[in-house]
Amino acid sequence: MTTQVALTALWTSVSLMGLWILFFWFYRDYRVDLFRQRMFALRDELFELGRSGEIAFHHQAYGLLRTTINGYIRFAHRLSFLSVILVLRDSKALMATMPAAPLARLPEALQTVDPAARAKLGNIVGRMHFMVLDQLILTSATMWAVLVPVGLLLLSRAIGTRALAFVRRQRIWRVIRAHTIEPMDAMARAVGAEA
Amino acid sequence: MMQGRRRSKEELDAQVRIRRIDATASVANTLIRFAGLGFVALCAWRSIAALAGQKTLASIGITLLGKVYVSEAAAWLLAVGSVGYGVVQRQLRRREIARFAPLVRDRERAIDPKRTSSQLTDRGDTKPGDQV
Repeated sequence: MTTQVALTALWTSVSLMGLWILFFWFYRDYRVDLFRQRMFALRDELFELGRSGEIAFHHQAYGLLRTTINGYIRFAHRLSFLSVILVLRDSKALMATMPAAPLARLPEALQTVDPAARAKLGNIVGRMHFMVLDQLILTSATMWAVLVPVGLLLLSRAIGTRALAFVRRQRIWRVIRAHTIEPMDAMARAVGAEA
Repeated sequence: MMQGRRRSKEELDAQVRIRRIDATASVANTLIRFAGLGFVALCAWRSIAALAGQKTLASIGITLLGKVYVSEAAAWLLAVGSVGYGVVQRQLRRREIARFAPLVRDRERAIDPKRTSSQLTDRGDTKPGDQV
């Protein structure tokens, strides 16, 4: 290994260490704070429903939902893709040991609320679950490495033709076409003509 | 919500299971974090080791710094500065949370005396006992 290569390897390693620390410490801490902030906003919304009288503070659905949100806020730092896999692996045994009350299931409790309030509570529950999923995906290195590129690929397929049509209407399209597409097309034509 | 009453055996069993899962995930996540960091540190060490015999540690440092271009130095400064900015902003946010959290808590408690808490500290940090 030449000195130049070794020094480049050293610089690269130092940069990678910095990126690793950034992702696994700083970025993760930021995501935990963001997740908690979003959960607090949901809890405030729930509280407003109680304050406006749409659901009683002592109603089981209110208590269960608030306790669930509190649990997510409290243990946000432990929420990880791996812990979810372990919970799912152990879910049967875990649910069997869950007592009927007061940790009863939320969906049943929601059925006892009047329809207008149920819709609002259902909306809060839906967003809560979306936030959990978002947190799991965006804090996992594996998910970043696998799901995000797949997601971008699907997104590009979904909006690809529309995005291309939009770009074609812009003035910059002429420059792009002249410097990238036309030379490529010309090369393809030249190769095609050889046959 | 559950404080102030005796917990049933089922509840305690569930708590033990959850704690076990938590501990396993926590240990595994910590291992992944440090194993990755250790691997990259090993790569850095091997690249230093490759220079052994050719250069002294001091001359490696001088060569390394001598190879830093202005653009690279600016990039490093930007990276370190950005992280520092984020950390300072975070501390500021924590101080603001500490200022407003009691107001929100008291207001909510006046309306709902049985209000339950997330158990975070007043600064919005994880409760010391909940950290693994």
